[in-house]
Amino acid sequence: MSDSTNLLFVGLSQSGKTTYLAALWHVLEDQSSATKLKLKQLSGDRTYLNLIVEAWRACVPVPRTTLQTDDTMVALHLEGDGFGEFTLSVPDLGGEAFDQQIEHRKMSAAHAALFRQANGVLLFVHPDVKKGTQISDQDQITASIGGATEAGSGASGHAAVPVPWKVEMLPTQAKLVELLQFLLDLVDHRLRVAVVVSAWDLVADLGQTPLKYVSGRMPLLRQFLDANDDIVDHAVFGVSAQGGAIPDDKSKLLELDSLKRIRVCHGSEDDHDITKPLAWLLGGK
Amino acid sequence: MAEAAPTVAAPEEDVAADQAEGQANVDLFAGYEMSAVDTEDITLRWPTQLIVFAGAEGSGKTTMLAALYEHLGRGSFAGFDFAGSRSLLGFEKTCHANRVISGGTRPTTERTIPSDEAAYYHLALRERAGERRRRQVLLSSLSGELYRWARNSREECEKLTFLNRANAIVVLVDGEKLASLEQRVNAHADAAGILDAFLDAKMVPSGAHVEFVFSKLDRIRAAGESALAFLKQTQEKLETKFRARVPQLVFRELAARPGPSSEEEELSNGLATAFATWAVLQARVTGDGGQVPQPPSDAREFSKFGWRRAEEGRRAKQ
Repeated sequence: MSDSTNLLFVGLSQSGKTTYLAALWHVLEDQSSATKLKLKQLSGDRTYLNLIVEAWRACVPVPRTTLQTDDTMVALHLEGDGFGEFTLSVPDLGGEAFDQQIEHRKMSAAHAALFRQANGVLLFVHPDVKKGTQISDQDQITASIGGATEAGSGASGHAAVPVPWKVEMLPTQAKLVELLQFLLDLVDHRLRVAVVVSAWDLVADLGQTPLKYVSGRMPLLRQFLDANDDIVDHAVFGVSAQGGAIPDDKSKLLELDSLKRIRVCHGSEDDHDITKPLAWLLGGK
Repeated sequence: MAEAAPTVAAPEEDVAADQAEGQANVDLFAGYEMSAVDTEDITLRWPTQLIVFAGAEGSGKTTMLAALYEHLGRGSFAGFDFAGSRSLLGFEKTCHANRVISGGTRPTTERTIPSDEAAYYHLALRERAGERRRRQVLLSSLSGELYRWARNSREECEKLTFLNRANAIVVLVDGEKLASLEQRVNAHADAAGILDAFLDAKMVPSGAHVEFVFSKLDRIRAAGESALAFLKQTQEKLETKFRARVPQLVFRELAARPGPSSEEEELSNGLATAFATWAVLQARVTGDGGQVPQPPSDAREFSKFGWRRAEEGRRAKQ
């Protein structure tokens, strides 16, 4: 294990990056639960971490990282069985910057440098994905339940489109593939990507593994990761960092042991160790 | 490093300078349909299969292209996984008219605007079985007007120089028109005229895979026996007209985006079979019986050379 490891949090706006970081900091600082990674020592400026963790502990919305707030570099001095001691650098990048990369096709030089130095990536996605439902698919469903479809359905002639296309209409899976393509353009080494489906509590009742969930909701992303397995290793985690919806579940969450609010699913495993995705990125299983 | 995604990002030293200034941005690839020059980033790096969809206005060229991407958006297709695209935004834009978010009420395709610049859509694919080889595919779908002009004038046809690079030329016969008594003869003549013009202007490379595809098969079937009989008759006439000049001529019937019916799965399978054929690189044969030079099989080594060359060319033009 090298002394310094650079991990990136990548994801669109409100995909759960900062909430994850807040919960991670709470767990590391608390030091009372069994986790794959542990805090070795306190160091550096912890103002930002303490700001976001305060909100997390009170079950109020964690302040979002935006274009107006500078990207914040967090350095964590960690250790773990099989990992030794190391410094983990995690910039908390605003999701809006990633949205803008897709729309304006430019990346700040600072972000490009971070991408190049990345040893691993946590790719965050909120389960409420924009799917890009097709009219023809909708017609199939309508027909299958005996409903009437629009006259002329199935035609492929030209017609005016009421709402013009905009980049922001891209389905989530297309946006995430674009972000990964930008990233892979810049790195020259094999990369580990941990896909984190945030707010896992919203979809856990479906009974699917996180991998199965991504395969079903974002097949293009799943194919992209599978097809590039010669340059990207990937794993999919379901993470509920907040523990529930804020403010609806606030009272219930505040009653719980704060460490038990967190839920991390990977394959058939389901526990409270929020360091698991990071440990996997660092070469663990 | 990413084979699916050749870079146009600034070199590292430029980035360092940018960082020093703290202002400048790194340009990312555009993401829309590509010009011929843009495609060099791909064609100089990897063996690439160019599939040209040709046909009259409304014959289904863009729908075909959109349907291929729509299938991949739902999962593995035709034995391939989606491994990337330099024109993801272009595909998405093409599919918009069939998206609920467009506000439309029936599946459609926006008309392709005529342009002198050939537009290519890129797909990087990975075979799901066997050696799991990577495939680079460029799809060309120009406005039907350009093919009409090519049909009207040899000079216009000779402007379609990308045809000389095509591995597969797919001429669409508009199935919807074929199903109409009034329009069916013209549908036949449009398609035949286009291939005739290509051959007359010597734009079809020797050894290229050439197909006539009867599009919108669901419409032809819905029109009944008479339309199906006319399709058969049209195929026989095209066979008679072109077989001697195009010995490997293939005929196919497809519905790229069939309407709700019990035949949907069968029709989708037809598109998958077709795409698997078009997407697999075939060694072309030159006029003297030799092989058209192909990029070396060591795509990674070749890619370094190709990338440097493409970069030098790009910079020289700036």
